[in-house]
Amino acid sequence: MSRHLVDSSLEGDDPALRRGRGRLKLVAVLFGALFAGLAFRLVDLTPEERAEEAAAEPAVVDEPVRRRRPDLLDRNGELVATDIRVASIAADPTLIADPRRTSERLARILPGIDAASVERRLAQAKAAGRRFEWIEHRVTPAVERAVLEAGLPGILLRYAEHRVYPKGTAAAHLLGFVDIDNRGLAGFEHALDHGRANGLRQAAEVALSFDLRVQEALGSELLRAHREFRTIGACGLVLDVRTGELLALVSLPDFDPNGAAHARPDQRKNRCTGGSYELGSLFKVLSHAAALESARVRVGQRFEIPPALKIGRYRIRDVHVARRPYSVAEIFSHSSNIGTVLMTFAAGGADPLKGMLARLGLFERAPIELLEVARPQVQRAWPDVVTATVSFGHGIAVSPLRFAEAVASLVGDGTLVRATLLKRPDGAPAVAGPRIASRRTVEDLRWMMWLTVADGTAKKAAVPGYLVGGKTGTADKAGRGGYRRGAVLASFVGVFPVDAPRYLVLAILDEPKASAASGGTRYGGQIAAPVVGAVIGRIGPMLGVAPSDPAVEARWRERWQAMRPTAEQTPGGARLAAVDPRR
Amino acid sequence: MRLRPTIALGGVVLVVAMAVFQLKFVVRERERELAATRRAIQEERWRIRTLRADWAWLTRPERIVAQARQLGLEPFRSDLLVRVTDLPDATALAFAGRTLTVELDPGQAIELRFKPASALPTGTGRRP
Repeated sequence: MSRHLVDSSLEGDDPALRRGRGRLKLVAVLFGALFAGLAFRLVDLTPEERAEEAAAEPAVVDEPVRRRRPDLLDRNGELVATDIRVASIAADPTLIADPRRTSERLARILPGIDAASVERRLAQAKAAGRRFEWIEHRVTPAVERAVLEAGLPGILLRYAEHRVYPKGTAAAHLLGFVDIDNRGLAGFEHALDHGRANGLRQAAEVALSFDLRVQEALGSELLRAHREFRTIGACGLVLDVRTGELLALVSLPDFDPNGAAHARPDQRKNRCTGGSYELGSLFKVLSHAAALESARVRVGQRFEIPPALKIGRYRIRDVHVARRPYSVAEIFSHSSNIGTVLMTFAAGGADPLKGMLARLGLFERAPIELLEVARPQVQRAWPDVVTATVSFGHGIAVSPLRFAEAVASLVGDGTLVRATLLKRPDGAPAVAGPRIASRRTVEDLRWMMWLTVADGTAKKAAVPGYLVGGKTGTADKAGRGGYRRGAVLASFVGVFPVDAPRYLVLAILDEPKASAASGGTRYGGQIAAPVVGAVIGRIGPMLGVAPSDPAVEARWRERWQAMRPTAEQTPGGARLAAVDPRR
Repeated sequence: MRLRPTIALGGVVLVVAMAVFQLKFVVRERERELAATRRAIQEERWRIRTLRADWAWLTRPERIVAQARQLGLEPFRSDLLVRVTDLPDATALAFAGRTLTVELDPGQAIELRFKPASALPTGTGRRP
């Protein structure tokens, strides 16, 4: 800028002027450099954005997303467990000028707190110079807003993630719960933290196999029986026979996972997986499958049933004494212990039975995505008496879940079914497990289970519209030094539609007391079968199961008529009638 | 030393420096907006989570059951299910699943659906 100015205004060749011009140039350059330096320094000194951002945001803590637990959904996408951010209220007492006024205003917003005690605490903390004092943990969003709007100086909001189970007690035992640090302590939450659910801990959400609607139907029907028969506990589950997906699991008494800390141990116990029981006659499904699969015994084969059976120093009896020879099907449908023992030995004794139980995995724990799974209790040696008692479900204790898997394997398509808590993706191809039973055994079992409901011990499980099959169980409970008188496990395992099974429903009631509704008895057929029938009636339409084809039922009835004993068909009948059955 | 280019260069440097300085302020402003927006999104996400949990709580089975009872609803009975082939006028249902596309104006079309209910004889609803 200056050269032109200097040239035009200061004409002449005066050496002094020339010198002056030189100095001016020098000064101009110096000043230019100085300003440039200042400009760069100014840019250089502009504070970094990050520091300012951090300083501007002291209260709201952004919890990193990755630390969150995945949301849990039921199979229809209903939210059953999620993390929400919950505010807690604290105070910096040194910033509070008037503790009385502040605590009075807080008490108006927070109905649960006592103004006087808060005032005292604030005053004490202020006197002691403490800068932090909790006032109320985990307030509702409405309270949070009210506190913010009140704008009380010295009152702070602290945020933390908090796991909530919006469906309350529904599916409590499946979901489990977490501790105050959001670590899983029970149920699926626990398994999630212990790698049982292959890497799903990092997922944003996990779809579980159960259906809240089925859970509700099973839960309410089981609760009704639990109250009616004053049981000490109950277990119910619904299993998809084809995929092994667990559609519902109920263990009573239950608890609310939102307040799990207040639940009693018997409420928290998952009776369907965490307990192993001698299931009694339910086991005849397995011993009959073993006998039929051995091919040494046929469904129509008859056995004479003595009033009592002596093996070693043990005597085996039946609840109802058979007055005529029973076919294998009747042994099943009338649940004869003696008949089952005779049939088991006719089929080869310990080996076929043991082999069947081993193939079904009954000597191992169920590999479901839960940690509270009981190990089966099995005798080490199998003398005849053990084989005999195991054939009707005593002397072996398994978890109800494991048993349900076994029955599903046998009546499904005869291949091994493994229960899972994870929803299978829609349209995922069926995983065929190893074959356990032949098609023929499967067909025979289905038919015998239908017979048990149609004309056996489980008539109360019948459901209009559906062909239901099943097996009742009334097991004496073992206590100190033998079986306890009067303490039983009443149970029923049902399958529907039994001609092409889709779902298995199991109900077990622990120590029911007889009532008018059970006809004064405590049999599984009187106590547990109606529960399963009611559940099937409710969930069948819900799950889109079409009513059964009457033609199948007609065919099955024909088969039964053909096998049914008549006077001519039982040559031994007359001879047996001469024998006093009570002898 | 040639003064004119030097001064010109100095001027350019100054202008560029000012531009950079200006830019830095604009960027800083934008970054602040971005951070605020991100924070707002995060807040909103938490709020949505809370509302979802709230909705799940309001639709919990025990509450639905209690409300259904007040509305006079009852659990579905399996004997109310019938097979299509058992219906008296089953053939009338042959069109049930089909749709018929009807063009209104050029480019506009609606789908008509056969309504099976109209084919049902009256009185097949609830049994006493």
